[in-house]
Amino acid sequence: MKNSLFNNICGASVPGVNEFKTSNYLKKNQPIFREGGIPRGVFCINKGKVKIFTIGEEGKEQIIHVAKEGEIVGFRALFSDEPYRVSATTLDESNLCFVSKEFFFNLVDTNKALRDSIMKELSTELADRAVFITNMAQKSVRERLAFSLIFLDDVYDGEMINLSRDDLANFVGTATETLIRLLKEFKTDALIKTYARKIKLLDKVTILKISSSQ
Amino acid sequence: MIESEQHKKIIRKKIGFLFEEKLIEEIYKVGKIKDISLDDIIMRTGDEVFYIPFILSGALKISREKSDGEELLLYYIESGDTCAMTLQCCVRKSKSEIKAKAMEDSILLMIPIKYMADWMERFASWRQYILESYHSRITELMETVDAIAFMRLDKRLDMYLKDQAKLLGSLEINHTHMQIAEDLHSSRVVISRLLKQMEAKGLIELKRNRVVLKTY
Repeated sequence: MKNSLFNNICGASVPGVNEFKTSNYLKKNQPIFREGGIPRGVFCINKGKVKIFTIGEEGKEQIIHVAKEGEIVGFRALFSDEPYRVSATTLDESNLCFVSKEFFFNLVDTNKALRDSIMKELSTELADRAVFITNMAQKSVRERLAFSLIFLDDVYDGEMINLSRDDLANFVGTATETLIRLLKEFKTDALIKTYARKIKLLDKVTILKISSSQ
Repeated sequence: MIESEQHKKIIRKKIGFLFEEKLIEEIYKVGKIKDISLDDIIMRTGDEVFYIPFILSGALKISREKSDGEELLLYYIESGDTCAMTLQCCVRKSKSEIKAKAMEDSILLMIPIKYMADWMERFASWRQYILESYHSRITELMETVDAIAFMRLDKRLDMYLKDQAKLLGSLEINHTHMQIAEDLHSSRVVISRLLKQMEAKGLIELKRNRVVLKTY
């Protein structure tokens, strides 16, 4: 964590950052930025979860990432003079800190550790997108659900997965009805347990096996 | 080490304008030229990465392989480009996650990966180039996400044919229906049916192992 992008941008040790960053409390389901908007800085998640998604022609959402505490969102758009390619919305009550574009680029020029972490972050994003596409194109919905549950279990780190059924369906890339039917199957097979909308993984080994069965 | 004046000339022409003079001198010192032919595979999944390739001429197809031999197209890289998926392996110190195959006879400039980090520190132009490479590949992958998540296959096929025509610089696309199906991750039957529909609409002409675009 010490050398994470987060710490290199809005960690307490970054000189001058306290004068430049602003903290924002957001309720759940609040937009942080929208596809097509102009980026003015980056957002560091101090607390809460954020969904990153694209919107199709008919208003359908495809969630591509769920970001958690310690992650930076909206930073890649800064490297181009283009509008945001994706949208970001809070999933629960969140505390984000905003660092302006000018301050960010000033940091990039002066801080080698930040440059290294940017390279790492871009590398991870590229690899993640490639995996995401492969999953979407080649895995069955059941396999994708298993993959998503493993990913989300890691994001929720010790807590139960707490997403609406619509969001989960949009992450898996399926209709909500299909998702609900598959969750039921997973429950019957004693792979998961649900408490209202919360999901607990009971048999991670088998879920992992389903997620990578090709 | 690059000594041939002809190679130096190509490098200067294709990527020279991107980089500062000092960096070009370094490229001459540590780079290697590799000629490859159509369909040559220069990297496979699981290979150790020793070099970052730059395309001086030609084009490469970058795809992900599955264990059963099927593959999924990620993107194409053309002259002046480098392969961001290879860069990320180098940053994360992992093995290759992709397969790179020549779409035509190509000339590559190979830079040993050990110079990457050093150049990132020393040359602003290099930094800029690498960041832009990442950015444009990720943007392309996002477009693929959109295409898979939202777009119907007929639209994807139409876009694919136009992209191929642009890439190959010809309205005649020498791919079998099977190859097209693999690139779009569909089946040959479905692709053949869609191609026939496009032919009926007068958009394309189907010949043996070839698709000819009528409109562009």
